[in-house]
Amino acid sequence: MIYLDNAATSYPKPASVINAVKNSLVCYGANPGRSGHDFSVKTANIVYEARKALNDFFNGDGAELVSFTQNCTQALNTAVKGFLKKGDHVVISSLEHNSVVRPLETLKVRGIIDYSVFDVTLNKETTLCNFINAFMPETRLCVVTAVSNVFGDILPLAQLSEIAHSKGAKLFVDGAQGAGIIPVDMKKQGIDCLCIPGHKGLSGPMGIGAILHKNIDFEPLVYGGTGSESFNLLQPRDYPERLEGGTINVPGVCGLLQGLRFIEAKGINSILKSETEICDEIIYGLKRIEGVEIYRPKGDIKYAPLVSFNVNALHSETVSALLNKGGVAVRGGYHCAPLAHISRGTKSTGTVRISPSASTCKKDINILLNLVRKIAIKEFI
Amino acid sequence: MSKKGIKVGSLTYAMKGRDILYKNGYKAYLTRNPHPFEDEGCGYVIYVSNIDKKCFEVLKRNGITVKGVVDMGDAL
Repeated sequence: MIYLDNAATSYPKPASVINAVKNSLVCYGANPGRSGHDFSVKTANIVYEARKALNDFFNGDGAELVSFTQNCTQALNTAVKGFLKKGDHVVISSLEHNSVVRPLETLKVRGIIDYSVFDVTLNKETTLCNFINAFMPETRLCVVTAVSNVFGDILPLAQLSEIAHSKGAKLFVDGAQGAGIIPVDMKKQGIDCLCIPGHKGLSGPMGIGAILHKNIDFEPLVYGGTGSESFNLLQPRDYPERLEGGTINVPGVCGLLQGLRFIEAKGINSILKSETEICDEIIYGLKRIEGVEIYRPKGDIKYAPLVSFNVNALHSETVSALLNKGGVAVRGGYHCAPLAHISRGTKSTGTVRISPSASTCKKDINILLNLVRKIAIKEFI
Repeated sequence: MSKKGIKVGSLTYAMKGRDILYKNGYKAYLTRNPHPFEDEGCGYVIYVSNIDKKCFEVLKRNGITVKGVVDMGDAL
């Protein structure tokens, strides 16, 4: 199988990540933050190391402001639902994933908040104007993706945060497609809260994510045991345990820590350069196939290394199924991002998304392009 | 001199405090509070074998709120 679906989850995982997950069940098998014996403290120490490592990697406000979650979706739900109050207004981009849209729509339907969508275009100035125009007097929060999971647009986070802050609003970022793929610096980019998955760009296992934030007052999403203040019938207020009711995914944390080390060793700029070159080569080949439409309009917008395309009038799921028959794994359909498809005109077919990794080779690209060519000339139905 | 443990907030703050004190020359260890008050419930403390007034200043300077001091007794 040629795996080109790294935006869904990265594969294969580095050997160090696999080993870390396996070994954690033996070496860090106690429950951290519950007991006082050496084994529990040893496990708590590795969890703390992971918090510190994430904080350093994303230039956050301290290891105590890094809480682990099940995934990026849970992190976003924690952030959004924990921050918003009745009557608040939220601004989001036209490229947001359902992990942002669904909690907000649900809050809206319940009459708690309202939200507006600003259009991300191929012109940065127009995008920023659209952003400003979406604000209302009640706007308290802006939630944007670092990178579109459908089209790869990299949003101008620093400029968006500057505008948001000037209007008294916070900027929360969905780092699902950005973390470990493009440089993300919370302080330099003015990010108030960053939600990340462990299993995509950071090369960790599925089942782990994190929320990194400034010292903001969040109501927890999950209430439960924290290993402390047991007679306090309310969730303790101190971070990060405030947002971590229940036992955390220690094997996931250990895997994520090793994934982070792997990325750091290679260098994120080096990884981005390699993946961008591979993606550019794929795009170059796709452009030469008649009947293929690539969704990468030129403008002053930058793109992460993923690309969406379609073939003739075929639905993207049909093309993806055919590619799968040919041994190539991609994702077709709507990618849980309805707003993106509505705003870019791909609602009827969705798109076929290719998301290579740094280990995608020339042979893989040639096989992919040959298959797409055959699909386009109807030789492979 | 009786052995004292410094009560801070969460486990993570206790670890942060331990590391900061260690960097400042204190012999700091993480352990459970051996004598939690009934209405306080359980938690972790930083046991500092060479505790003095200055270590509290070090913690405060680094943003760690001290919530009390506990006598470790025979727990160590």
